[in-house]
Amino acid sequence: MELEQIPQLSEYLSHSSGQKITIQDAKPLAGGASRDSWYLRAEISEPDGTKQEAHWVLRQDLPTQMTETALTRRQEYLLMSLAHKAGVKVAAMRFLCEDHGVLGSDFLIMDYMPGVSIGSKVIRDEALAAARAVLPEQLAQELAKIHQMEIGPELSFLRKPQPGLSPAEQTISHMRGVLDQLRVRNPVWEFLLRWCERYLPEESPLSFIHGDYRIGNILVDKSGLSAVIDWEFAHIGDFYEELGYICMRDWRFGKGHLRFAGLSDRDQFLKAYESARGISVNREKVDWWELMGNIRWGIICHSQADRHLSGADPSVELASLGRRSVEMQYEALCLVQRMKQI
Amino acid sequence: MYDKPDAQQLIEAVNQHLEGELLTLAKATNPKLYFQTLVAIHVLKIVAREIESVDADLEAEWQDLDRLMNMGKMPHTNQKILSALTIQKDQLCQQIRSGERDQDAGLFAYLEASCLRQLKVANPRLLETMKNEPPVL
Repeated sequence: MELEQIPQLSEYLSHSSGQKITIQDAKPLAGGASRDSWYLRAEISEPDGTKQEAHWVLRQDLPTQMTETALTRRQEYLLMSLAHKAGVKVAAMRFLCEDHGVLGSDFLIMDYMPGVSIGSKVIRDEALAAARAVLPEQLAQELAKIHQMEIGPELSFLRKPQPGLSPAEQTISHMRGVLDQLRVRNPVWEFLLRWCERYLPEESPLSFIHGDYRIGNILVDKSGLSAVIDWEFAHIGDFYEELGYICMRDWRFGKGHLRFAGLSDRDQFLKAYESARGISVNREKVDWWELMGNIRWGIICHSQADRHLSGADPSVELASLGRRSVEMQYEALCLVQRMKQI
Repeated sequence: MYDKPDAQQLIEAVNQHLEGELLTLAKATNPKLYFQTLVAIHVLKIVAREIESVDADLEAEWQDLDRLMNMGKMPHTNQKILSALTIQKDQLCQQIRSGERDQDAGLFAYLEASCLRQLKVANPRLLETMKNEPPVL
């Protein structure tokens, strides 16, 4: 979005809502790699003359998409609305626009939620020390709600495992496919995927999965978790995937020995999750999915480097990711060594 | 063979340029450019470490893989060593994926040694951190 487009945005919002809406302030937000995010301050005039102030966030599609499996704005709007209805701490949705005549591409508008998302700040800022103490429980409670969201026909667009394959089997197959497509012949990945295949965990019933639930994708203020953001990788799968994912070393933002998200030991989080769901969590299954999280991210690093090498998206940052893969390879080998079967 | 500065010194010169006025200017004017410049500096340091280590690493990789794959005599040039390693690793990958190497007790040690060599070049600081951190619970 450009600032010159603000008047036509105000016009669209007014027309769409039937109220007089004027955008009075707009600031770009440091956002994820694939979306354009803006903070908006709006003045809404009621028919009786009273005025209200609203604080919103606008998220718009950018021309380059990180992956074709990420969701459209409509799909994101729908599932965030469902999450909100299910009591998950997520911004309320306000507008969805698929008319490219307004800003040039699809966009949605949601309530602005307070807090910071930058991982290093959440983990290290002195002012957030009290928040960090309660985050493991809060993160567990929100995740429990997310995993219990009903998967109705309106969510049929969500990626799910092929019939006959468990999420674990599907992931192994998908990862081998990516390696083959990239022509990456790395015995470390082959060993790790074969190990995962030999020690497949038992299946769980399929659940709604956020898809990127970690520090960096939550807003945190002084009281703790303010909102869960970045739902673009939502899918249907095994909820253990997410219990393991948030424990990955790369999401501990330098506090490597604090296995749960750089905040606490793992059990503090898992016990809170068990309590919130009234179930017992198998620790070895969580181990398996933490391992798989490292495998997936390490292999995605090759994909990202390939985007630079192929000329599709020249970038020193993408090129550098090719040399980050070995961090996840090494971490994954260390995890395997710790697990019983070696 | 080449006049001074040598490759390492040239890399150092480029990094000084990036870390100096350029980084200060980028920090003040363009956060995205600032971040990318930091990445570029980091990448050049990887290149410097690779130049330093590649000869010894190729030899060590050959010796370690030889225990699994019977590599024979190591060629004399880095290019030929790399070529032969690639072919053997390709074969090793197929064997692992098919399950042939499931009971190979020596495989893990090779993989770990290979990763450590690469990590020392890619991110030696992470290796240090992992060595010195308290136990992960």
